[in-house]
Amino acid sequence: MNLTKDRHKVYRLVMAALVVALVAVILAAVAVGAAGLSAAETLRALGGLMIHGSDATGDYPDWAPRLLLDLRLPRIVLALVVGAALSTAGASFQGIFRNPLAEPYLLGVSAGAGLGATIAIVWKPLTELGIYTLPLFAFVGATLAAFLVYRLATFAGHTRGASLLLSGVAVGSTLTAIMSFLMVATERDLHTVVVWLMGGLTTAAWTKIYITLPVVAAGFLYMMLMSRRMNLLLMGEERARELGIDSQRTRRNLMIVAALTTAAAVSFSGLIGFVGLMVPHIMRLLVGPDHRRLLPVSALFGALLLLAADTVARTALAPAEIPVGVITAATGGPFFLYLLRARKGV
Amino acid sequence: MHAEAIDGRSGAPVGAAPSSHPTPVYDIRALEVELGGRRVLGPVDLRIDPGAFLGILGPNGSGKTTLLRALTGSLPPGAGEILLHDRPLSGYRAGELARVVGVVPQQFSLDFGFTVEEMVAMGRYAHSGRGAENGNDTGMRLRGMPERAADGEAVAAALAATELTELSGRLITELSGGERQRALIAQTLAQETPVLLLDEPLNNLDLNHQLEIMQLLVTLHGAGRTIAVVLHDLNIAAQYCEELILLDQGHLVARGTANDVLDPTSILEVFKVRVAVHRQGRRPYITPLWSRTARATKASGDRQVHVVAGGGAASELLEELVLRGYTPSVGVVSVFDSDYATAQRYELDVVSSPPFEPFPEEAIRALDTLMEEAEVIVVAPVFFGCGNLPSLEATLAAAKAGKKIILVERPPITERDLSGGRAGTLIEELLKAGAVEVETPAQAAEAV
Repeated sequence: MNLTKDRHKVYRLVMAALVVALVAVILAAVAVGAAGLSAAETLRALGGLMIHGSDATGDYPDWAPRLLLDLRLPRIVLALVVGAALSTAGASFQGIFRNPLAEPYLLGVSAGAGLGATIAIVWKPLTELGIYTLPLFAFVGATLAAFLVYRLATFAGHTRGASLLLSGVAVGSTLTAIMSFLMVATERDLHTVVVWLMGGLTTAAWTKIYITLPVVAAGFLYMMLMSRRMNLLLMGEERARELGIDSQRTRRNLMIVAALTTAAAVSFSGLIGFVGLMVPHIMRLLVGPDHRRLLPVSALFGALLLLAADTVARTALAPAEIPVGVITAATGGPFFLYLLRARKGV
Repeated sequence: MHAEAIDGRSGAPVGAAPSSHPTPVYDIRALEVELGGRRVLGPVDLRIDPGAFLGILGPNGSGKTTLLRALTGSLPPGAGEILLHDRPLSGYRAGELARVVGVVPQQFSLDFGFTVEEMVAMGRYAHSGRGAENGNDTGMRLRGMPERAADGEAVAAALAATELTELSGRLITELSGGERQRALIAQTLAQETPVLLLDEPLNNLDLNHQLEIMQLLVTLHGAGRTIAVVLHDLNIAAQYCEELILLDQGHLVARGTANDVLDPTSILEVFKVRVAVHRQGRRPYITPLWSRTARATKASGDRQVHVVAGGGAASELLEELVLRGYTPSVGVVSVFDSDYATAQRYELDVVSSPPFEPFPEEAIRALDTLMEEAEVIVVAPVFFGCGNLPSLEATLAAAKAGKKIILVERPPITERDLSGGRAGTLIEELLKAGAVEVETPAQAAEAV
């Protein structure tokens, strides 16, 4: 048995399986919903939409194409983009910090985005700036939190994975406390903030996708370009430098990109936890830790997983919605505990 | 070992045609390194010429690893400078440096499940992708592993040289410490650099792999590589390296061939260990005698012990006592006696007598003096005949004077009494006078 060669085959197999599964989940997500259309009607409407554009008519209610175009499709696309973003950012953070338990949520990056978003919601003059206010503030919050955590964990030019995780948890708690204080202090916005925090894709719209998708796509491209360097970083900064990369700079740049990717996702979807932890971990078990393979399969699997979770979220108690963050946390929490136990505490 | 598989590749140091004044690979001038505000190295001046095979020796904390990490660029100089091929080391880009200098670090961890082959292939980073061709090391090669034919060959050769071919498909996280160490060495070999810096590369390796790795370095050196290796085994260093340097408290105290550097005086000075140096040609062999630090630090107090020895019966006892930090006096023993040799080895005070003769008067007087100075007297399980009975008699006198006496009684005196019962009587009297009986040398040393 040669695992090195087996992994080539497994990688192709996993990619193929993920593509097939993704198409299936997308079709299922288009087909089901609270609007009272049958699955057959929605799929016919989707066909009409794709062939004739939004004016198409056929064996379905005439509002069906609009429903798909304005509600379901943007929501599906946003779920895919956010899922891929969280997973690839998670995989990158795990690589940069050499710790399979690293994740935007645990590193305080999500909390930073959350605080930024809360400020944008409660500070009225800002809302005049339109729909870009919240994402912009979430961006800034996530990036600042990432750098704060990084600075706190760096001693004399060396950054240790364990310190990073600890300062991530500490910074995350502090930022969450400030966030809670702001929420209590400005009661009238409490509901908006809480709904945002619980995570959800209910307000998906194409305008949001136009902002998120380019950032996430550019981030993914950069991570792929840096994938071999990320492999080297798994052996520590000093060893990576001995093998030919400027470790500190590479690590810093990757951290900015992963934080931006996280912020781009989180700013429109709220705090969706554990996707960034679970997805890379499961994929690593299948294709190995090489980031050249890990990143693409994580992106696909993350997209698939979040779309499936969101489809459950909007149909399980229809017409009521469960925040998708509740579903990911409900499955991710136990998974995290399992990892802790299985890895003897890491 | 299949070191020949990686011979000749990138062999000659860059621009280093043999001449009377070769450009040094490393030119280290007044180098000082500080860690945490404390100077841990230097000032050190050192030239490493092309084709050198340099062993770096010194006790823990002498600055060996610091020197090596300064050469790899991991530690910036606090003062002075390091030139690599006539250019300041700090001026090298990481990718460029990794094509010239390969490093086997002392500490290494990889907790992610790469296979051995995947890990070794990472050593090719600086060579493959765009990085090698145009000096712009974005390192983008996304598909295909190993990356190119040349990379595949280098990886295969490195695996073969470290005897890891069989293990190439195994997970690095599932290997033993020694196998991981070999994988680390293989990763560095795959870099195919003209210069190799190794920090205690024999860590975790069992004896046969230690020798194989050193043999591999010899082969690489023969193929023109420049090698500097930190070793803690003086004998391995003496046997394989062409040149040695000795560091002590951050300073370079000796440099030269093994015969120049490894003399008993400088080793005692630096390592606080007394050694015997056996010179065989130009590669000496060293055996440690005893450690001055062990003696100084053991909580033996100043309690003086005398050992009644003879016929090799006390050798183990003397070792136990020296190990526990005592400096026992010994006697009376014949100069042909192996107990005499043991006492000499540990540089103990010893009362000796000519062989095959009764103890001379002056020997017995000397024995009385030593016993007077001693607080405790240990009688080893010596065979007693008429010749050495005076030792026992002196011991009895000391017992009556209130000294603590310990008798090692295995085998019992009845089996080693060649004096027609007189020794047995003396032992009985000693017991009456309060002597303690024990069975083994270790117990005796404990009882002291």
